[in-house]
Amino acid sequence: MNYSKIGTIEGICLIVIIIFNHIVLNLPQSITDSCGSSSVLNVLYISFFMFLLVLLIIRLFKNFQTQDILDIAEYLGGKFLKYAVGITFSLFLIFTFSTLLRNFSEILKIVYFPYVPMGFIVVLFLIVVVVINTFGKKTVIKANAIITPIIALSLFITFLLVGRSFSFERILPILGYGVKETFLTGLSNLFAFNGICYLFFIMPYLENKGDFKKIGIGSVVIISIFLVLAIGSLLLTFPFVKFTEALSPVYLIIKTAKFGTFIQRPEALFVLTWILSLLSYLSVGLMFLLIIFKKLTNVAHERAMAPCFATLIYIAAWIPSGMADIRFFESTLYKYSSLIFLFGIFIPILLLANIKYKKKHPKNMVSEGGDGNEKLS
Amino acid sequence: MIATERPDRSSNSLLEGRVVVIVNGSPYALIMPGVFIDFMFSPEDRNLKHQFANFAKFLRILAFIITLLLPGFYIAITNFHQEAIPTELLFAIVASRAAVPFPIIFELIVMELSFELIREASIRVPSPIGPTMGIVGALVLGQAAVDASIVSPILIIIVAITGICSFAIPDFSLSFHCRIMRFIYTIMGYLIGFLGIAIVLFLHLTILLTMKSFGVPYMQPYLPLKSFNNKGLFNPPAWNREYRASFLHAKRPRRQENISIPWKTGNKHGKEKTL
Repeated sequence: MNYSKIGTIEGICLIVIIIFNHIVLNLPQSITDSCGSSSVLNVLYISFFMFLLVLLIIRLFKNFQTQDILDIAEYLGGKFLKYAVGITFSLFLIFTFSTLLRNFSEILKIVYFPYVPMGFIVVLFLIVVVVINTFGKKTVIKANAIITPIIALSLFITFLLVGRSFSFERILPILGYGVKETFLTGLSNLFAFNGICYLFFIMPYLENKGDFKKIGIGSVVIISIFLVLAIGSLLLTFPFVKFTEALSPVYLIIKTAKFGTFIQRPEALFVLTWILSLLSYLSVGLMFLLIIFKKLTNVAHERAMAPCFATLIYIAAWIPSGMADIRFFESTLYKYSSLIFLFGIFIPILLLANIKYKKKHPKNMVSEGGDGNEKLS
Repeated sequence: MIATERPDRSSNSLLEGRVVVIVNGSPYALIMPGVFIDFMFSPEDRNLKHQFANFAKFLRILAFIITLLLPGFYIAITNFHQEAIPTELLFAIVASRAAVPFPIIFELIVMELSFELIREASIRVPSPIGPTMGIVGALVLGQAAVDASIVSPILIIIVAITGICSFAIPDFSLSFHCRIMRFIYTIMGYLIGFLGIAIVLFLHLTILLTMKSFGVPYMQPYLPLKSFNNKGLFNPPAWNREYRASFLHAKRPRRQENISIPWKTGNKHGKEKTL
């Protein structure tokens, strides 16, 4: 029994935890800002689109079943492309984590810790994440596999509890801001599935290569369900006019939840689960940063770099000067950079690598690898 | 390792595929490997109907969670997250604490330490006066402290429930672990509320996940997720205990025949046919 490889559920949890954290913060708001009352329709549309995309990714990975995107980039364009992809994605990850961490810390400071310095809250998260990563990849993956179902359950309960506040007429007009915004420009909301980027890195760590398909499809299905629930809850509870609140929409939704006279203001309990979710997400993210670092530099003990990356995340967290900057970073910079990585870098690399592989291994010749996997020269 | 004085538990563990070490001079038999769920297991569970055993196991797991988290939650909610408490209960708590001059952390630490002292003292007290010691301790520390406005009544309830739940944990060493960790949760809850509790909970979980008992991950079979085979969260019925726990890698994974109740077979009309 191999305890060091990732199983199906662990793989799904690795990808899905990313979307849970973004749902808790500003993702639903970003989508409703772009589509209005047709956000649910838009989410169903992009979910279908992403499902087809994941099927394509699974098919493209068939020839590279023991390699991740960095190995494939090296196969395609040599070490230059490998380093270019690795470094830019690492910078993207640092930017993402710092923005998310800063956003969540701002919310905690506003609600619970008005007199606590912001830096203290950010440092506290980063210290825990660094400590967790010193225990190794397996521990981070296992901890994430325990936390993610708890977060999923808490989000599900959130959406159930606010059901009483729903006004179904808020779904009208059904096409929101229009057909173009819903189906054309609304495609940019594919950034909500940014967690799929991690799919490109987990292949070498899977216990069974056949699990890759299950992980891809399972992740998309679960992300779609929770996106629909989150957007639907937000849309049906509040009017889709632009939010000017500094707090997360899901936090504002749960503040309206009531169940009898005993459960009156349960948001604090859900904040506990969201903190766990953020810790898990940051641990997973730092783990991937260390994996990429190890791939690029071939160091023996990459865990020693965890404090360095944490320091970079801390420094980057101070770049936004306030909530307005954070909103801009999340709704614009993060959105378009996710799309660039997914559609502009990873998928084209996969496509071109497959074309190169097919040219080297025509169908009537036996491949060098013997099992369909290309060996790196 | 599981330490037990019960011969039935040791012999059943041997039949499961574990290793038992008995040392001359020690009253305990050491059983290995021991995963987390084994410490929630009581030897009586094997002899009860599976519904009763599972209910008892559920109560023990609930007791584990309560004894670990209740004081920390209470102090975090009263200091940082008062909105989580229903309004009427919040008024009652505030009213009960109105006459108490000490901060809540001081009250909680004093009461917890007192409870631990009583527990430790009652181990060594001669048996004729043992029950009296418990009653006097409870009365003196509980009622008198409330009357003197040293602690609030709600805190006595919290400490009492926490203590009772710690007694519900079958294994002595796990109970000790909870008693120590509870203080860490309490202090972090006092310092930074639910953020502190979440941090300690995450770190605690991670440390449990890194532990191994003779090569078997401590949180097996939940993580990494493998087939349960009779060592999952709840006990299957006696007729379904056909396999040994898969994480034990026993030479013979199957321990009994496929149908262990051959005297009952159903015919095509759905009536039971006795042989």
